[in-house]
Amino acid sequence: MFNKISIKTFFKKFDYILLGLVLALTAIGVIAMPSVVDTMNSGPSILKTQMFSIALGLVLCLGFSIIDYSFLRYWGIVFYIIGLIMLIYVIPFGYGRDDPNIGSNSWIDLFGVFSFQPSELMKVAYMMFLPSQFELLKEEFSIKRLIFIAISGLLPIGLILLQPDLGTSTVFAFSFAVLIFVYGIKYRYLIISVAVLAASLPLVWLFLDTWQKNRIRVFIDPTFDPSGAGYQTSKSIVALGSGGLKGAGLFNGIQTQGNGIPVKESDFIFSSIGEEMGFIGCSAIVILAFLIIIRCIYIASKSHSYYGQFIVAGMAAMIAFHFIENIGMNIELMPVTGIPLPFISAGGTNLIGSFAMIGIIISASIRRDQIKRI
Amino acid sequence: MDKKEKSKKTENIENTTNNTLTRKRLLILMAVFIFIAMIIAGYTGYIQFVWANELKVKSYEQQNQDRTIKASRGTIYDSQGRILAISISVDTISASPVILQKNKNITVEEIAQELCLILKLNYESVLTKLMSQSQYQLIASKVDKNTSELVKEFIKKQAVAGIYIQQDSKRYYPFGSLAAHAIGFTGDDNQGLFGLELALDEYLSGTDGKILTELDVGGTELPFAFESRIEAVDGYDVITTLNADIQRIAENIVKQAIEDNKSKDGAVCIISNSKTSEILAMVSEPGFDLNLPRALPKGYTIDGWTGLRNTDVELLYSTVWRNKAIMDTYEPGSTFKSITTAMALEEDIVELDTIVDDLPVTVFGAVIHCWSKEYPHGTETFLQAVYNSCNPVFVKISHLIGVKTFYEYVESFGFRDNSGIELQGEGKSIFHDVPTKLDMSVASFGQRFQITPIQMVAAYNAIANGGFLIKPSLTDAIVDKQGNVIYDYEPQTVRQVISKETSDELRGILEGVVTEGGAKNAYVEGYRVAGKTGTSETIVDDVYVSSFIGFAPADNPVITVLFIVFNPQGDSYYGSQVAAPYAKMVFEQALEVLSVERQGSAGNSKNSVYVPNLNGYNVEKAAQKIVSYGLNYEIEGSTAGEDVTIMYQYPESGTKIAKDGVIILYTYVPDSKMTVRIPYLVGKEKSYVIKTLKDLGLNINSDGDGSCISVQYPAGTYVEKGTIVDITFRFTDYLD
Repeated sequence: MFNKISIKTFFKKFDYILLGLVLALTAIGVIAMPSVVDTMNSGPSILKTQMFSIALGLVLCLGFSIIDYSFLRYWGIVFYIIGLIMLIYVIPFGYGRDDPNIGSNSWIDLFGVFSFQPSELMKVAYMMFLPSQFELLKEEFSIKRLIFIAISGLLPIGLILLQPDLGTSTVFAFSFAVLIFVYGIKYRYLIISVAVLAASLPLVWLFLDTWQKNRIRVFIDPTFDPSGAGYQTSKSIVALGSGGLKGAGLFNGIQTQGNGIPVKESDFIFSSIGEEMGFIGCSAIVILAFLIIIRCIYIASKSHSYYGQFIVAGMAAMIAFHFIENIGMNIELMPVTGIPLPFISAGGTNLIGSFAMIGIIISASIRRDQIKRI
Repeated sequence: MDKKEKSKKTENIENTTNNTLTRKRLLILMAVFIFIAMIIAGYTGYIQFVWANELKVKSYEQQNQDRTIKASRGTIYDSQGRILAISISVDTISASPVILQKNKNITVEEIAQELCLILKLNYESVLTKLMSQSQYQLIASKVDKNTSELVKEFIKKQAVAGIYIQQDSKRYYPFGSLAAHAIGFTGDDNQGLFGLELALDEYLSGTDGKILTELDVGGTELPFAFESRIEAVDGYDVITTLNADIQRIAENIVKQAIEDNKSKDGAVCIISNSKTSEILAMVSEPGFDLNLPRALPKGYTIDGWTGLRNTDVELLYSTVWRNKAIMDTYEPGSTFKSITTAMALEEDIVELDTIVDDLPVTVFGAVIHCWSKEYPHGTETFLQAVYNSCNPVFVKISHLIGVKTFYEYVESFGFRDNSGIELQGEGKSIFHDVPTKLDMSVASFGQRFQITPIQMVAAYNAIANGGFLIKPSLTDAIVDKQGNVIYDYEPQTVRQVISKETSDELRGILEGVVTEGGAKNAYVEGYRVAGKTGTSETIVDDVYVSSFIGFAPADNPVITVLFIVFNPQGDSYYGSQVAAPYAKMVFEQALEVLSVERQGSAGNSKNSVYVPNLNGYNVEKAAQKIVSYGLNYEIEGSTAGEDVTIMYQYPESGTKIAKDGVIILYTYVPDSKMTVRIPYLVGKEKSYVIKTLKDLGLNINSDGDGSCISVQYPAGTYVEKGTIVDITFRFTDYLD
């Protein structure tokens, strides 16, 4: 089942560029984090968890890169089913809904020692399993399989919506869509689905709350003022804007140190870094993030098996969506959801999951010439 | 076998098609991601460079300001436009210790030392605050601008991070203790706590603005939700009916009366417009300085006094803060006989020439004598009985009025209800629930019941103004910052109590009481004072309340004056000795300020007059005035031209000289080099004021910085060049 490659080949074909980019991005987070959490009561424990998670993530990353990724083609379904069970379990038995900072039942607590988010692990399992189905569909098209893919692709999205965690479910939806796109859906279907989505927007409008509607109105017309007076600026923009080119310097951001930015160690760490490290820090993050994605897509395009292409493209899309959504909400181009910034945000499960994905992608990169065989 | 075949098939497909479609799709995906990355990076740059400056300010504001935007509190003026209370800009200095401790070029100890030096604080306590592991510590509040400027300099020079200066405002009372009880004061949050500041708080305070953060469905704050700003609406200004000049006159005289009569429990003086019941002055002694309302009252030594502890506040409320003019009740004594007389005249029970006698009268076994017990006045006219203040006569008259009617009048005169003045905490008058004939008999000459001074003033105003009970008031108008009148307080007539004829008759009677009766000490040459003295006992032995109440001029009353001295321990405790002479001084000086012309009082041509004030008049007007006083004048200096003005007169105003006396007037031409006219300066910047006055050749003794809020001499007065003018400056938000 495992295609053995020699140690020499492993080191020769190892994707140092991708690992280097990821390590550089992680380094920015490691530099910024002590300053960001300095004025928080839970600061030391956040730092400890973060360092531990990075170490564990790196080990997993290297581990996955050593192991031949193609075994996941058959074992992915096992992880996927475990993930589904956890997602079902978490709806009645998870915790988090009563915590105003979380708001959804997305956490499992293991004996009070260790807690994690099944949806984060499901991201990896989902991207192990679905590409294998797309590969089979590519090999031999059948309506049955198409329906199976549709069900297994949408089921986790539905379950996560029940937590309810809209943000994470959009991560799945986006990467699912990317898989469909990469699979080679005909443009006319693509146009039709976009048209159907666009047509359903007015329907969505009916279900939005007033503040959501106002936000969209303001988004479309900045002079529209739902509250009747004054200006509208979000705190994240304020933090970013006060950073300027070089930033206020670590431990010096007024908003960051004064805890003016909520969830600044995770969801809004980009703003905190923007305030303290300025445009230099921000653009470094943006450039590194997208170099990682581009490198991944490059790896995907070089892969000789469909599974290799799909798994790398899917995981890259998943990570990419995190970057886009997280930075996008920090700079107010996207609505606010609880999506972390991969490799930088505090949050162990996501960090470990992201490193695992990179490990799998590196493994696929090393074995890009491999074709599907039994 | 099957499997092998399938895998081979796969290989073939892969090899042949080389899946160009997916590759193409992946390239498109890459392009899309690059495009998104460019948008994100570009927009981030836009925020950090284009918005940056604007956002830096907001960053500070968001972190350091309350979620409320403070409204500026309105200014309180006297009726002449002088500022009695104003909000001045001060600063609050706070620190973020966690940020402060990260300064590299300066230690926390050095910062603490410097702050203590500038702000005059205790080093240890400041250091403890700065060393704490917290986000926010208040260092000093209500720091004046000059001091906070020093802190700013220090922050700038040493590049200290973590010290914040926020604007705040503080109430400042330019006249200090003047009219303290009426004006009142505010708390730390500029909320009215006392006096008009409390009573009119809703108008003065304005509406604070808000920074609103959106909430999600569950009511929790969304991180980075949009914020909306609702601007603050500044408070309205209040123009009071008080007159600072008259208030000061009254306060000085009250203090003198307390000293002369060795009063133990202070004194009260209320000066009211007789026709409108507007209060021109309200004095309650002992008083306090509005700028230091929580200072330890004189004559007390209390350990650990802060003025904030419950016991401290209780003491303040029971002593200096107590507004005796409205809170305390007293027995009016003989001053109430005017009321009984009003009832009798209104009910046609007696005529002025009705023959009565002051022989003792027995009611339910109680014998009531005239105060002049050994030498009763015997048979006399009713008018004489009033002049002589004979108790038995009033008792007999009250019997003719009847209990029911008597107390109906008591109620009608407003003695049962609060006077309705804006101030809070009015005392409740005390009458018998079901008064008997004996109760009424004693009440007819003002004893065994208690009323508040302000009720008495309102009742006397009714006597003076043609019979109308009018709600006493301290507020003339409420205006907004643009000068628009928001509320115009018109005198509110509660009811007509007595007819105009009765009122006219009573005014004559009460003038007679002053000219011929028992209140001669209140007589003022030319001002036709009408009134009545009163002396009453209290439940404590040898503690008396001596009062005088009256109005002037009797034919057309302008002001009503109530003067009460509590617990005099001097040579006398009679109202005629203790209160009347001081009321006379109040009348004389207050009417002078109000420019009420003196008249030859009816049938009483005396040989001396008081010299009127002529300063600032032009020659023609001064001459008219002098002639109207029956005096002669001589002019020293130029008389040519209309501008010629009186600079100095001899003798000075207020001096009593014989009729036909000569007043020497020294004139000057206003634009001559010797004197200059004080321009209107209130609201002007300090630099402007200094330059203007320097250009005029005047010297300045300035207090504070910022905008001018009071000037020693009113605008338009002429002063000699080189005069030192006291000017008070404060930073204000909206004076311009």
